[in-house]
Amino acid sequence: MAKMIKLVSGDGAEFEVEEEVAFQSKIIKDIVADADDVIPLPTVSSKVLIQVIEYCRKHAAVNSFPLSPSSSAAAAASSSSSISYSKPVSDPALRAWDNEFVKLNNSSLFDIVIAANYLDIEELVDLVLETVADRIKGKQAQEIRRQFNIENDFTPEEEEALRRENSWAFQNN
Amino acid sequence: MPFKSLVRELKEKRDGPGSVPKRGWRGGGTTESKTIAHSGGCSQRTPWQHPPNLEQPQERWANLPPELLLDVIRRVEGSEVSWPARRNVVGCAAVCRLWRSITKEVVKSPEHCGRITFPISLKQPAPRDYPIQCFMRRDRATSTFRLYLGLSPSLRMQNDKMLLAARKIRRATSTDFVISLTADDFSRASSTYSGKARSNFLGTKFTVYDSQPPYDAAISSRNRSSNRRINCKQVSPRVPAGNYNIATISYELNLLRTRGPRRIQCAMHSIPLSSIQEGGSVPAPRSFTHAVDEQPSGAPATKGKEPVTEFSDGEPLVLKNKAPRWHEQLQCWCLNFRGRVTVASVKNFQLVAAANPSCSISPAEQEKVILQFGKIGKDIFTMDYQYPLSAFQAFAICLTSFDNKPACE
Repeated sequence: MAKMIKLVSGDGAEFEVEEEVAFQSKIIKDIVADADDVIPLPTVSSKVLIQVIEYCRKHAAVNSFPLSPSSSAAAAASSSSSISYSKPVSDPALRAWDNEFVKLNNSSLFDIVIAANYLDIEELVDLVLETVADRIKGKQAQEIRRQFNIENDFTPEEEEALRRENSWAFQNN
Repeated sequence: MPFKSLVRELKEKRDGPGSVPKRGWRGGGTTESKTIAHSGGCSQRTPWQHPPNLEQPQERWANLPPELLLDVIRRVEGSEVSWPARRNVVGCAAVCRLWRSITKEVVKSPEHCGRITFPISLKQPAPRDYPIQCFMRRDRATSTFRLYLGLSPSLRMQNDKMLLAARKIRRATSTDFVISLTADDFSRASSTYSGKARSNFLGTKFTVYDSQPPYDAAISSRNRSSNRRINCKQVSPRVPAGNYNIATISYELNLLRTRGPRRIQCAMHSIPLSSIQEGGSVPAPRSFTHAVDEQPSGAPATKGKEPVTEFSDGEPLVLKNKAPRWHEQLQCWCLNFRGRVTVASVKNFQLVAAANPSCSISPAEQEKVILQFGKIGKDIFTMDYQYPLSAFQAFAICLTSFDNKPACE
């Protein structure tokens, strides 16, 4: 019988998951090492925790049976760097699953970003940050602000100067 | 800047200095809820409590932890390498102040990454070991010249990234090549004005003027007042365009060999000779946009005829054209343009550092072609430039070859 870990969401729901699923989160792995089997996660709501567990379950199954030497080598290489850049998941089926997983609105995506970072789940952080980057590409500043609800804190004079910079960048000869 | 200190600085900006990151692991004791298996539904639950630290929906993305925002912007910058996609990096820098300061940290200068990103990149030196390759298109009807990034014109013109444009304006006693960020506006009062090259009456000597100081450090010139550095975040709506004399270009007529190449010499007042010696570097502007980033130094605009500065460590860099070799078999003068120039023209040239008896320049450095310019078709030229030149300087030098005076042909 696989060892079970109990995760408690911010709104009080409890989730029992297999150890290898929970250990996708480095933080949880460290805590359990200190002999604590019940882990409160006050800043993660149950809605988000369910999604995160779903991701971890899917990826735990793949990680225990790595498909190719390159995928485990990539995982080993990535764990040594402090900032992970995009390392494409080698299994096309898993990649397709990941792409479906991140079909979320910006608000839900934000929740996953925060939770994945908090729990230190490297591959999930990589996936969602790459998704955020993709949503930024191809957009001008105004649209980025609108999509991500970011306030424009430049003064009107600065705006004028930025307009020159942007019209140079976006001009069509 | 080391990553850890950048993150700390950004966190302080956001939270205020001395704040503690909000992570609580061992929060409280166990709750009283019943255990539920993951796959099943919920049985009994404690009343739902609002999770702490949940910001208002509108502000959420603005409170993204800075290290994550840095990661995201790095990804955008790392993948949008060529134009036109690279404009997305400029877009990131215009979202808000925090995004701008992160983008500034992420984007490296052309010297270190070989990429042009912001307008200021046009006034920063190219890489040391390989050139940035551009091409120029001349429009005779409007006396306009356009500089593009890329090896040669692409099939679809929309994909070519225009860097700078220039217009030739003939005056009674001189010719001006006015340089601008856009081909629609060559007015000197406009914010797109970048500088100009002005000839003397005979067309044998040109002075290149930059609209902004060539570097941020206090310019140590004869100006007494300029030895303080202005670091204010204040914005002035229109920084008056200065005229900083940054280079003098002279052409020598080839009297003896009328069919041979003319001799060009460029004295680069804003580039010290030491920049091409061991361990040397070029002081270059780092501020992207006058109004938004740090102000340049307080030196008043010198509408001066004098060169911009004197260097404490020696003379300015002088460039001269590489002498072609006489090819006996082909019966012509030859320069190896490495495939980048394909049509014979008296305008074709290569510039290298002039040997200086007093200061040592290594033979390897003397061999490096710092600027190469030549024709590849009707009204189309290639321009490859390398450290320590910037795109603006290279463009200005090449433009001077289009002044059709007897001394130049």
